[in-house]
This record gives sequence, C-alpha cells and structure tokens, in this order.
Amino acid sequence: MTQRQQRAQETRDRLFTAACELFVAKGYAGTTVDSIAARAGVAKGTFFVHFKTKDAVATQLIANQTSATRRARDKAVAKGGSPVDAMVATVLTLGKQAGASRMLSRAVLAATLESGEVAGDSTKLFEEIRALLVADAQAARRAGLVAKRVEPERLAVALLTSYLGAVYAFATDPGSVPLVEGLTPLVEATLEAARPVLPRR
Amino acid sequence: MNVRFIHLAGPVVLAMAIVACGSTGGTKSPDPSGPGIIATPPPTAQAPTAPPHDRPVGVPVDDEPNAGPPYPIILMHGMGGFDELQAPIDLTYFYGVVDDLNAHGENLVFVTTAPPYDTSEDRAAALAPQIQAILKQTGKAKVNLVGHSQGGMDARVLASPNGLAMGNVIASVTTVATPHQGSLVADLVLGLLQNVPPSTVDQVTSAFLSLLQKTAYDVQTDPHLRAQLTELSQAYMTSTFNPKYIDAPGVPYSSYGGRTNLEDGLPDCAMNVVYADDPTKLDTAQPEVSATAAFLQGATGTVNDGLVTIASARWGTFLQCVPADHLAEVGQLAQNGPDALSGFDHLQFFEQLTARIRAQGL
Repeated sequence: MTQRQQRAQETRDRLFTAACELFVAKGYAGTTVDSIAARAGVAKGTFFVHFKTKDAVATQLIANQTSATRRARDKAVAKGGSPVDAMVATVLTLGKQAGASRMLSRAVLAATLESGEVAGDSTKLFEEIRALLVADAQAARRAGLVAKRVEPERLAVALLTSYLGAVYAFATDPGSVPLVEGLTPLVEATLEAARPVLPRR
Repeated sequence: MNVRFIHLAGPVVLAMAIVACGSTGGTKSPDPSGPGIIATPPPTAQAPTAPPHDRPVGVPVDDEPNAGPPYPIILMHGMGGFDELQAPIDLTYFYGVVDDLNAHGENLVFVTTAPPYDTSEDRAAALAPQIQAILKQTGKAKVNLVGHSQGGMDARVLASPNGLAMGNVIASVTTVATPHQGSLVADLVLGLLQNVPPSTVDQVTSAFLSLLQKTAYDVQTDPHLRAQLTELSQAYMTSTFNPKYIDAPGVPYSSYGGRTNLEDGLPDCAMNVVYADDPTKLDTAQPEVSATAAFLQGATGTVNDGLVTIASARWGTFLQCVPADHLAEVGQLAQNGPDALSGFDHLQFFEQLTARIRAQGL
C-alpha cells in the first residue's frame, strides 16, 4: 500500500468510526453526513470520496459483520471443527458482532428500515450467510451429525432466524438480555432438535 | 394456527361418517370455500347409538334429544387441518387420539372439519351444522368442545352470544395452544410488525408458509388465507376478536399451552396453573416449526410452542403447560409413544384432558 493509499484508508476508517459513534449517540436518523465529516475532522466532500451516502456506511457495517462471520466459520473449520461447529461459529459470530453494541444494532436496524438500498444489500449479505449454513448443514447431515429427516434448508433457516429473532429483541427492547446470552441457548436448542437418534417416533 | 394436512382417512375413520349437510357418506376433503362436511367418529364412536340407559333396541337415539352427560367430546382442528391432497393416507390431525380414547372407554368422541384456510367466523359457520348433527345423532343435550390452535377460536365463536350463540348446547370449551392474544408470527407474515427488516420477514415467513405449504403470493392473493392470518394477528385478537366474542355465560372455559426450545417454562408455567408441569422435561422443536420457534423465543423472550406463546394460549382456567411443540401437541407428525426427551405423550394428554371434563360431570 502506498503512503497515499494508506492515508486514504485511515481517513475512511476515521469516517467510519465517527459515523458509528454518531449512530450510537444520535441514532441513525439523527446522524447527518455533515456531522460525520465534522466529527472525523474532514471536509464534507471528503466523506463522499469514501462513501456514496450515509446508507453506504450502514451497508459497510453489515458487510463487516458478515465477513467477520465468514472468517470465524472458516477458522472453525481450519481448526478441525465439524460442520456443526462451523454452523455454531457462523451464528454466534453474527451474534457477537451485533451484540457488541445495542445502539449500533438499533442504528443498523433503522438503516435497513429507512433505506431500500441498505435493506437490499443486507438481504443479499444474509442470503450468502444462509447459503453457507445450508452447505454446512448438508455436510453435517452427510456426516451423520444431523438427522436424515432434517432438511438442511430448514436447519439453516432455523439457525438464522434464531439470530434474527435475538437481534430484533436486542435492538428494539432495551430490557432484553445481551445478544449472545439470548442467542446461545436458542442455537443449542435448534441443534439439539436436529440431532440424529432423535427421541421422536 | 397451523398444522398442515391431515387426512381423515384410515379405514377406521372412513367407516363411519355423520352426515351433517344432507349429503352422504364417506369422508371428503372440505371445500375451503364451503362448510366442512363430516364429523367422523370411528366405528366405536357409533356408540352414539349406545344408550346411556335402558332403551328398547332399535329405537333411534334422536328420539331422546336432551340426554345428560357424559356429553360428546368434539375435537376441532386448527389452521390447515384437513387436506386430502397433501396428506399421507393414514395421517390424521389428532393423531390416533380417537382410537385411543375409544380404547379407554370414551366412545363419544368426534372430529369435525372446518375450512382449512378461513376465518373463525366462517369456520364456525361450517362447524355449527356438524355439531347439530352430532347432537341429533347422540341424543345429547350438549357437547364439549376441544379446539387445538385456531380450533379453539372456532369454539369460542360457536359459543359466544356475539357469535353463533350456541352456549346453551355447549357444556365446556377447552383450548389447546390457541393464540387467544394472537401470534407474532402472523403479524410478521402480514408485514404488520414495525421495525423488522425485510430479510427477517422473508426468512420467518418462508419457514412458516412452508409449514402450511403456502407461498407469500398466496398470502397476497388469497383473501381467505389473508383474512385468516389477519384474525390471528396480535392486534386483531386483542382489540377486535376478544372484545367481541365474549364467553358464553355458564360455560366453563379452560386452556393448555405448549413449550419447546428446551425451555423449562419457568416462571410462566408455574404461576396461575391448575397442574404444574415438570420443568425438568424439555422439548425440542421439530424441524417444521423450529424456525418460528427460534424466532419467537429470540424476539419475544417468551416461552412458546413454535407458533403460540404460553401467554397467548391462556384463556379461562389455564390448566397446564405441556412440553411439546405446536405439532407434537396433537401427535404430529405421526408420533407414536412418548417423546424420548420430553416424555410427552399426546395420547395420554388427551386422555387426561378428557378425564378432567368427565370429572366435572360434563
């Protein structure tokens, strides 16, 4: 990376951090591009060099979350983890990322609701995560770690909705438990239900 | 709500059909746009013809139209319910319950059929003639209604003075996992929830609709399905349905709810209950309801059976939480014997439910 590129990256990071801080402090709607630029100590025009809109910052937040998730999942596999471990890593990392800040989660939620663009990008990113979960669920079933009667697609969706439900509560209900604390038992319950040699029938 | 398919078939059930609407014979999948047709006790339940007291052989029972208890027990299915096309031939909604109750000496057990995808008003209208037919055939003065899921709402419409006002012929109403306060899942599918991003709506909706074997397009275009889901929404139940369909005076109402997700149900299931359930017995949701179960649990933090929370299932005297998901409560899909994890046995559950009604002299 040239020095120039490095400086550009630093500016982008500063803008990103400033935006996140403002999202937390003032909410998504209460944050303007002017205030982000001012907080980052750059001119407004500089903001637009790095992000097309305020929405682009929100999309970046979600992209960071899903790429961290993908990395954690790959790491679990690289460490010799089973496909079930991979699924757990996927869902819990989504939770850890979003669970780091209630206000930020709320801001992301607000962004997906306010902006069709963020919503569309978010849907696409989560579809990728879902595909990852489906592939791991298929592998888990082939390996006999998940019951044959459990369709990989259903298991993937159940794991994803565990997260979606938990993050919804986390972002909208100030009294709700920390995200990972709420999510972990749900993931356990969902995987327990999918285990082979299931009680039923 | 819920539970897909079920076919009233099996030679046993086919053998006997009460004709409610003047047509004859055999079970038939109800026309969703019209009334359901048949109540179908298995052969032993023909015992409507078994007189409660001495009567010359051959005298039709309906010569004595006002016989006292024990009154017939009518099992009423929920959303979906009966769908000939999608059901394995021997899969019935209340899986094996009628046979089991018969084997325990309960001969007055009937299963009614309502339009699978319609409002409780329309379903109740279809059910009323079936109940009249059961009264006529058995010669009994009243019936006990037992509704699973939306079936419990149907029962309330039938009984309520503001509904079909049949309270004078209803001995009791028992609901099992009926969403008396609506279900968040219905809200979500209808897009009524604020603050839920589209990707979440998509995932949960697709999981729920695949259970019903319906699509998002159906929700948009099928007015019956849409009206039904609307009725199951939280706002509708609490602000329209409940204020309107007040309980019938003098009729005892009681209810059960289910818990899954490995939740012990505490403290909800230990408070204001008639029978404590065993919090060490835990249930896992079957794949068909695991996504909605996980979402509901995560989003509301409340104990639920995959579609209905315990709080929503309460109506009248709340009897008990059972460790079962929304499908397992009625033995779906095709459950035999107790669940190895939770120990829940739906046949035993219905035996107890029935025994309680009988113990009350109904």
